[in-house]
Amino acid sequence: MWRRYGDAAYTLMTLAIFGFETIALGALSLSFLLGSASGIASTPVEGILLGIVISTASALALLGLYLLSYHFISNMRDRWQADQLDQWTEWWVGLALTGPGEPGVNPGNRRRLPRVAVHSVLSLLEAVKGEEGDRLKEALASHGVDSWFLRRARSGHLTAKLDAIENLGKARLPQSFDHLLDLLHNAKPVVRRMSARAAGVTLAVMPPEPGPDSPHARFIHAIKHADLQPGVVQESLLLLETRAGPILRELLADPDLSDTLRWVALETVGRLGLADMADEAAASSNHPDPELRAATFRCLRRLGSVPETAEGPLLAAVDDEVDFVRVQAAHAAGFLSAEAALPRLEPHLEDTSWWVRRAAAASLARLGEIGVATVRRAAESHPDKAAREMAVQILLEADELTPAAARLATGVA
Amino acid sequence: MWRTLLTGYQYVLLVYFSSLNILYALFSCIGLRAIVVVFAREFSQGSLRDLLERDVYKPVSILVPAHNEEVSIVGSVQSLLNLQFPEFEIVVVSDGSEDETMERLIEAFALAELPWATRQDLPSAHVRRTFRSLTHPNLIVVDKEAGGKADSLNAGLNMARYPLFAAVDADSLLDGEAILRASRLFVEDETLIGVGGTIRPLNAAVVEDGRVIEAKIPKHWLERFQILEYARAFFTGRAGWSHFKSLLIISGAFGLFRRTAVLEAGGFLVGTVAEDMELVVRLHKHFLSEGKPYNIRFTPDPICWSEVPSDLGTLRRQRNRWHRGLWETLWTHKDMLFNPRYGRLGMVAVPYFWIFEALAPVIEISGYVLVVIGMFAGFVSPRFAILFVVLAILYGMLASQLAAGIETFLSNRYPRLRDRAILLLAAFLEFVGYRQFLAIERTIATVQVPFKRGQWGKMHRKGIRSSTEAPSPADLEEERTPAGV
Repeated sequence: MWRRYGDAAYTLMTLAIFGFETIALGALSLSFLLGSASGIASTPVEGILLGIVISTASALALLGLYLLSYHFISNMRDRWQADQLDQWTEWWVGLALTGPGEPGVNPGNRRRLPRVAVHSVLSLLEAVKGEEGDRLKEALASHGVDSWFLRRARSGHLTAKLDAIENLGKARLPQSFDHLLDLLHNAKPVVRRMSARAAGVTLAVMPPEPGPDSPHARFIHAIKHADLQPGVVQESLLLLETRAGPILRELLADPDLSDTLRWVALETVGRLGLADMADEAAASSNHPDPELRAATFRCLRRLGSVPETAEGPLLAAVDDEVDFVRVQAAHAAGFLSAEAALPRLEPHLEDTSWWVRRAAAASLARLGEIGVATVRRAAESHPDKAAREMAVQILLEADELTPAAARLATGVA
Repeated sequence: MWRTLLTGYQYVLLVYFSSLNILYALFSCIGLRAIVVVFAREFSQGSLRDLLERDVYKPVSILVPAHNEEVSIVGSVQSLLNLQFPEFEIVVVSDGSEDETMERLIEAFALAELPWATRQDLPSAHVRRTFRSLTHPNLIVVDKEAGGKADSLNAGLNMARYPLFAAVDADSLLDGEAILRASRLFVEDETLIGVGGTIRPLNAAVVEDGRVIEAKIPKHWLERFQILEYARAFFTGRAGWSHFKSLLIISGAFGLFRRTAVLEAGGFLVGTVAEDMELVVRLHKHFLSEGKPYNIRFTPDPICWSEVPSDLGTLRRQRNRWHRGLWETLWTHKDMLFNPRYGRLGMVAVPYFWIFEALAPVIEISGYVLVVIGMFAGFVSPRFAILFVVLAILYGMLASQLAAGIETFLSNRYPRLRDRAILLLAAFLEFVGYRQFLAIERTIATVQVPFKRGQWGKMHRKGIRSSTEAPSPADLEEERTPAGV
C-alpha cells in the first residue's frame, strides 16, 4: 500500500523545514515586537521578512524538486523491480524444487542478494512450506540475510527495525525466535506488536521440543510478562496454527493465569475450533467474572459441543443476571439436547434483551424438529409481540418460512 | 487611537499566523512519521491475509444513510458488497427519499419487503418498510420517514447486529481492504471506540466494479484544489491530532465505531449538520466524564473515495454547512473550552478548533481588510504588505506540498509525473481566489449559524460510474441542473 523507500529523506527534509519555519517565524515575531517603536514596516523588519520569503521559497523549490524527482525515479524503479521480481522468483522456485546448485548462478550473479531478491524469496516463503521452504531458508542463511535482518531488528532506527521484524515474520527463521521474544519488551508498542506476530508465525514452523526451556515454554513466559494488548496476544496465538493446542492447554491449566490471558486463551480455543479442548475451556463456566463466563460459553458455541461437566453451569447461565452472559449461554445451549435446553430457552423468547431473544430463538431453531416447532408456534401465537417478531425473523433466516408467509404472520401488507 | 488599535491587531494576526504555520508543520512531521514509518510497515498484505485466514476480525455492520441518492446508490452499494471482508452486513437507510432511490435499490438487488425484529436502542423517525435482498443475504434496506442523516444512522444502528459499525456516505467508495484494515485495530485494542480513515477525492478516478483502480487528476481546478485540501486535512491534520489522542473529527464519509460505545453515548445527535464531529466530541466527553479508558484514532490505511463538489454552488453550500456544523458542535460543547477536566482535549484541541478553525475565516478576511486599510492609512508600506502576502502564500504552499508529498508514497497515487506538477501548481493557484472565496463563504456561515441550525441544503452530484459505463440520461439531467438549486 505504501512505498517504503525515500521516506527517510523526506522525513528529514520535513523536519528541517519544520525547524526552519519555527526559527523564521520566531525571528519575525520578535523583530516585529522590537521594531514596534519605529513602526511595523521599518526597514530592518522588512529585511528580515524578505530573507524569510526568499528562504521559504527555496525550501518550497527544494521540496517540489524532491517530490518530482521521487515520483519520476519511483515510477522507473517500480517498473524495473517488476521485471527483476519475475526473474528472481523463477530462480528461487527452481532452487526450492531442485535443491542448491541446480539452477546455476543467480540472476544478479553475486553473493550479496539485492533487495528485490530478498523481497521475492520472502513472498515465496509465505506460501512455500516443508522441505522446499527449508531450502529457501538455507539459501537465505548462506547469503547472510538472516544475520542482516537480526542486526537491523536490533538497530535503533525505527524504520529499519520494523522492516526487519516484518521480514523475519515472513521468513519464519527459527534462529530469530529468541530475538523476537526479546523485542516483546521493547519500549515501542508497534515493535512489541509486530514482534509478537512474527514470533507466533515462527514458532508455528519450529519442530516441537520437550522440556521447561523449550521454545513453546519460552513463548508462554514471554507473552505472560510482556506488555501486550489482549488482541495482540490473541493474534500471535492464532498464528501458531497447529502448535497452538499445547500452549493453550498449558495456559488454561495455570491457576495463576491472569483473567485477561484466560479470556484470550478461551477466545483463541474457540476461534481455532480446538474441539478436544472443550473440557479445559468448560472449566471456566463458573468463573466469578461475567466476561470470562461469557467467553467460556462463546468458546463452547464456536466449538459446537458442550461437555457434560459444563451442562449444569450452562443451563444456569441461560438465566444469568448479566445479559451478555445470557446471550452467550443461550447460543451455546443450542448444542445441548432438546430435552435439556428447550424448557430453559423458550421463556427467553420474551427476554428483555433483544440479543437474548435472538440467541434463544436461533438456538431453539437448532434443536431439531421440536425446536423449530416451538419457534413456529411462537411466530404464530406468542402473546409477546417482540417474541413473535423475533421468531418470524429466525425462521426466515433459517429458510423455514417464506417471505410471503412471514408477511402474513406479522401483518405486513 | 485607531492607529494603535490597528497596530495591536496586526501583532495579534502575526502571532496567529506564526502559531498556525508552526502547528501545520508540526502536524506534517508527526503525520509523516505515523503514516510512512509505522502504518506503512505494520501491516503488509501478507500479514493482513494471515490474520484474515485465522478469523482475527470483528464483524461489521455498514450503515449507508441515503437521501435522494438515485444517482449513486446502486454503484455505492455494489462497491460495498465487493468488500474483502468475511462477515459484514450493509444497512441502507433511505431517509424519506423523494426520488427513485428505493426503486433503483429494489430493482438492482431484488429486494423483498419483510418484517424485521428491530431494537429501539435509539429513537428515530417512523420506519415504513424493511427490505432484504434475495440475491445478497447481507443487504438490508430500511425505508423511513425523513429525519435527517443523524436520524437515519440511528435507525441503522437499531438494525445493526454486529459489534462494530461503519458509517459510510452513499456517494463514497471504499477500498477493498478498508474495513479489514480499520476493524483489525479494534481486535488489537479493546479500548478503541472509533477509527477514522483517509478520504480521497473520487472525481475522475477510474472505477471498475465499484472499485477505484486508478487515481486520476480531475480536469477542473476546483476539484484539484480539493485534492490538496483533503491531503492537508487527513495526511497531516488528523494524523497529528490522533497522535496526541485528541482527534475531534472522524469524517462522516467513512468511520468505524464500536456500537456499544456509541449507544452508551446516546447515538447520533439529530438536528445538527455535523453529526460526525459532534459524535466524536461527545464520545470524548462521555468517556472522560465517566473516567473510562478509551481511544479514538485516525489511521491512513483504510481509504474511502468520495465525490467532491465540481461546481462553485455545491462547494459553497458544502463549506457553508461544514462551517456551521463546526460552530454547532463547538457551541454545543462549549463547556469543554479551557476546561482542565477534559485534559489536553479541553486545554488544547477544543481551543485550537475555536481559534484556528472556527474563527479562521473571520481572521483571514479581517487580515486582508487590514492590509488594505493599513496601506491607505500609510502605516503599512505596500512593499511590506506584498512581502507578507507572498510569505503567507509560500507557507500555504509548503503545507500543501508536505501533505500531498505523503500521497506520493501511496502505491495508488496519482500516477503521472504531470499529475505531480499539476498539484504543485494547484498549491499556488488555490491562493488566487479559491481560498478567499471559501473564507468569505465560511465567514457568511459564521453569521448564519444561529439562523440555519440543522439545515443541509441540496448537493449536486454526478454519481459513481464505471469507466466503461456511459452516462445515463438521469445523470446528464443532473449535470444540467443549474448551481444554486
